[in-house]
Amino acid sequence: MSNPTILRDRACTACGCLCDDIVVTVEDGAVSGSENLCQLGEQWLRTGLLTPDHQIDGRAASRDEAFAEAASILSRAKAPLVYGLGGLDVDGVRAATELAEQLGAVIAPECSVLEKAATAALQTVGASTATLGEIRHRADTVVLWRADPFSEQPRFWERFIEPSGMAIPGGRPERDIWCVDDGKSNTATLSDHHRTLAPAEDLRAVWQLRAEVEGIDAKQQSNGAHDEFFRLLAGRLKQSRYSAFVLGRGIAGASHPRAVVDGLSRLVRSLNADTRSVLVTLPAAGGLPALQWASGAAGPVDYSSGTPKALIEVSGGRELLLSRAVDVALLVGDGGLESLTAQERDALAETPTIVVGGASSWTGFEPRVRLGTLTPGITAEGQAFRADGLALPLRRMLQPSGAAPAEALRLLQAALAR
Amino acid sequence: MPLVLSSKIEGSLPVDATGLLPESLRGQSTQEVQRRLIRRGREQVAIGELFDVSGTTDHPSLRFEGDLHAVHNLGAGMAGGDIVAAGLVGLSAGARMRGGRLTVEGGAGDGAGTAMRGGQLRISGNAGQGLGGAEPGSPRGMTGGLILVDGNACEGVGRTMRRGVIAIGGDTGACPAWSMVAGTLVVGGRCGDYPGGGMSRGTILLLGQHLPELLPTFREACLSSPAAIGLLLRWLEDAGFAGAAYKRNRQFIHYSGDHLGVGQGELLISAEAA
Repeated sequence: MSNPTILRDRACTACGCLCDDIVVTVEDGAVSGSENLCQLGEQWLRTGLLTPDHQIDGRAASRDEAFAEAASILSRAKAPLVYGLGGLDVDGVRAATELAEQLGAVIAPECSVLEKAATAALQTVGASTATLGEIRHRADTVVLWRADPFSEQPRFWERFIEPSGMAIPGGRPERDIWCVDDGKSNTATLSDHHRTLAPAEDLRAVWQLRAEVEGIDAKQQSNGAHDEFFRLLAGRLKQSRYSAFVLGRGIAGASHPRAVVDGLSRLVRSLNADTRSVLVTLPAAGGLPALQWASGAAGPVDYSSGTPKALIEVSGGRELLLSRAVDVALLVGDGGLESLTAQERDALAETPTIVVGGASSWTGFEPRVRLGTLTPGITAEGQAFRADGLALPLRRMLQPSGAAPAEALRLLQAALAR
Repeated sequence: MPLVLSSKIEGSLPVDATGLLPESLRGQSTQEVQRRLIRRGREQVAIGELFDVSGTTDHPSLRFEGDLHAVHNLGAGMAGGDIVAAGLVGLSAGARMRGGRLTVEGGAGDGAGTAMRGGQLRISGNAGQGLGGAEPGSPRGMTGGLILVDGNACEGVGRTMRRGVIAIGGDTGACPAWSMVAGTLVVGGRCGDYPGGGMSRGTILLLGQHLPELLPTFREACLSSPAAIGLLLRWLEDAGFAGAAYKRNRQFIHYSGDHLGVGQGELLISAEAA
């Protein structure tokens, strides 16, 4: 039995926090212990350690056979789709984009409602944003709008809310935490001020808040209690030195999420006239910005004409699958059927599918070909972006045989070129 | 007789009709048109493989028939002439139009009339999301032209529109004319909630009997019957918009907004709705 090796400062890509203080113990070629992982991180590590294999029609296949079959399917495709890109590192997304360009495919990242709304707001309103470290060091007021860090980013609170910061020496007690959500989260109980909003109330609430901040006489809300809460919040926002809005995935459950994010972005912009205010959305960690560099588009991109063309937002991967506008789907990176609706699953079942991902990617159905890949940060090296755009290296913990996602995608490119 | 392209497309793989315009086909024989390449998915396909071609290209109009649901960008960028599509068309019909007239005798998919600059887009059925809105990455929606929809329109009608007129005979989804900079939106049926959020200027005219939920930063100004409304409706009627005909001589409640911005937008709601 060999001596255990302690690996320090590893980064976890389970959520947008990209915690880079993970400690892992490796013994006899296996992970025997870990520190600083939250429950999401433990699941990420557990599934990332599974041995990926290659399959054709559900049966194990050699690497050469699987890549040849995948290339054969893709070369016959008339309208292929490259979809997902979750959990990929930067090089993986670059390779997926190169493959989409080579294929003349549509490449569509899987984006949450919040991410789509934030992108739209960025393009129409602009963005005032910050790194998570800046929020930790400076934010004396934090507004969590339908954000539940305890389930979505379990260590966010511990890393960025609780600790002291340069301008917040007392840490959490010096921060005023306001929470607006459905009242069912742990975050609500730990906040200093909380308001429960019904899904249909967000937009009116945002406008009321904006009106209070701007000092504009607005009509009374139907529920007077809301007025008082948002009047107090507006007063606090105007007095604070640095306020941070953290938007969560719960916005997907609100009516008109795009308009809500648009309104909050405008609110933050107007707050910056007198104080400092930022808005962050905490998307998943990964390499998605690489798609934007390569294509110039923030959403789905069509390479069928040979040049990148941004598609309208309703032409995402799901919509293309549903409308049967693709004849081969290449699912890349993490993902699962549970994220799809019944109709989308039916559409996927009818479409010849190739999965490029780890052992836990897109399980529960049988793609035509499955190309197993290692997991960046666990069994492969790479780089990933944190939710705030900070790039961090992903160093592997183990060195099993196999290909990283980028390597697998480039092998596929080579097989297609033959 | 106009040039007629009868669809024999099977399946839903996307056909990109960009460039299939009267001006670009003028002077070509039907054989030449049949040999011309368009994109289906990632492949270049001869028009003759997807459409039966008849008629002449001397006529400044083009007619599409048959199953067109997978034909996208129909009439996109057209600057003149007439295009008639008999049936449901795909995405982005009439996007970036600069002139001419595109008539869709059926419904249109999402993104119809996005970034339109001129001309007329007429949809006799329903329209999808983002009608007259902005293209991906652009902060501005349509900047000119006229869009007439006899049926309903989904969410995002006239989002960030800068100029031009959109008239919807039926209902609209939520948040129509969102962040409108200028221009006119007329809704004949039930208007979705929160019209004109973030609008700075422009006019939203609601002719229906339903009072939508308004944002609290719109202020009721007065009860009025502006002469300009009658002129606008007559102009729409002349353009063939049947929804305008019986709506004249009404009183409207005039709201101004959105006062979080410039606040010079007009929201006129039929007094009957209130």
